[in-house]
Amino acid sequence: MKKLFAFGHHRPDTEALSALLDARLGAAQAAALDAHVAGCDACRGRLADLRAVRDALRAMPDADAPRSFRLRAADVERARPIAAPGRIARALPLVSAAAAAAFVVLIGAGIYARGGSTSSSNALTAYNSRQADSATRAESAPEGAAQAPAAPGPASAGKAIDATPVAGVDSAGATAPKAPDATAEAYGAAAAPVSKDDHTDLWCYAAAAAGIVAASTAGAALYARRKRAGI
Amino acid sequence: MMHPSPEPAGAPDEAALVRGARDGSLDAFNALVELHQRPAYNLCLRMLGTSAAAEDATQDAFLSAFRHIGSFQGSAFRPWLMRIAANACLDELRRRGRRPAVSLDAPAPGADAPPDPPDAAPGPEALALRREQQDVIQAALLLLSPDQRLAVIMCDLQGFAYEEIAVAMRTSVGTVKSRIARGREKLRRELGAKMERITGTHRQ
Repeated sequence: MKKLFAFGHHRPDTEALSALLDARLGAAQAAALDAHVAGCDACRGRLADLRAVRDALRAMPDADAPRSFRLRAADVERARPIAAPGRIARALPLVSAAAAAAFVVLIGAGIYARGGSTSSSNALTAYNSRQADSATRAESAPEGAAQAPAAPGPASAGKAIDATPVAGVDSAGATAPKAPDATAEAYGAAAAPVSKDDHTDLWCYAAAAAGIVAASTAGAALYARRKRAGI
Repeated sequence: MMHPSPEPAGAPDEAALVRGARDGSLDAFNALVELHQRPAYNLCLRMLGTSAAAEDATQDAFLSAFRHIGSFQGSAFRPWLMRIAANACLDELRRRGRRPAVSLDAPAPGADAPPDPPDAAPGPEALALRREQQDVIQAALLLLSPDQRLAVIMCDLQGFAYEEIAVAMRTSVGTVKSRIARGREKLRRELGAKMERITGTHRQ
């Protein structure tokens, strides 16, 4: 019963009696409790006992400090490095949260980009190449036909793509059998940079993850230390 | 001012000392140590029951306080320090908890260096009696939960206000009130029959 009034019906709890001893009850509550105690032997006894306990505790002597607890410079040398991190420690959870959010965004963007890239982006690249090719086809057609069989260098991946249809369409016959090889090689070369990009993404994710783990660990450690120190 | 001049007349300005300590002045911090080491040590002594453990805990507390002085923001330095001292005691109690050899439930009153005798000795017989009373009360204190013990010690032995205890225990005044009440009630039961003998003169 937390209610402090109407003690005629409720036995006042110890908390109320204890607070009365310390004059920590409101005036009305104190008056009501006083009135109750005055007419209740049991409560008067309990109050007297509690008062006796408190008085005995108050009578406990203070001991002198057995020595000075002044810190020596040597103690402090060990202690100093941790003296500063208040602000950083407070900011760390924020940094961790921001890093986590960035990580999620990165992953999301990565998934989104990859989901689209394999189907549309590469096709787009190929399409663009073909457009560029058709623009130059008129002038370079004879040379393109001649070069088509010798096109497979990785540095000229785009050219190879350009060249193949040219060769296949414009100069059917002698160069036609070569076309599939050139095409395959051209797509292989074109695919290579894409898979390279995927690796770059993975490294980014790994780095971000490592950063987050490091930040979180540091934050948790600092928090634990501060908590242990009770600050 | 980084180096507070120890003026014998008045108490040094505590806020200035705290500022100095925050700026890394060991002298300023040690001036704070001088101001507060007695209550800090007594808190540890009553929490732990032995002077050796209290000495270690007090030393740990001041080191920790120096380490974390940068995060002290309030205006009440002593309750903050008391919290750190209490935590040093709780660490020690936890260590004891992992070492069942030293049981909290079986304190040996007087076995380990009892508190210093009161200053004005009224005579050997009375002194012995008082020492015995202290040991009985100290043993009873050790039966309380650490929370109740800390609240009772700060309130009744050290005279802190509920509000200061709440700061030190990082809890509400209502919780402090309740811990003090339950602590006193448990002490009343523990001391029980001994109460007459111990507090006979106080009994009303």
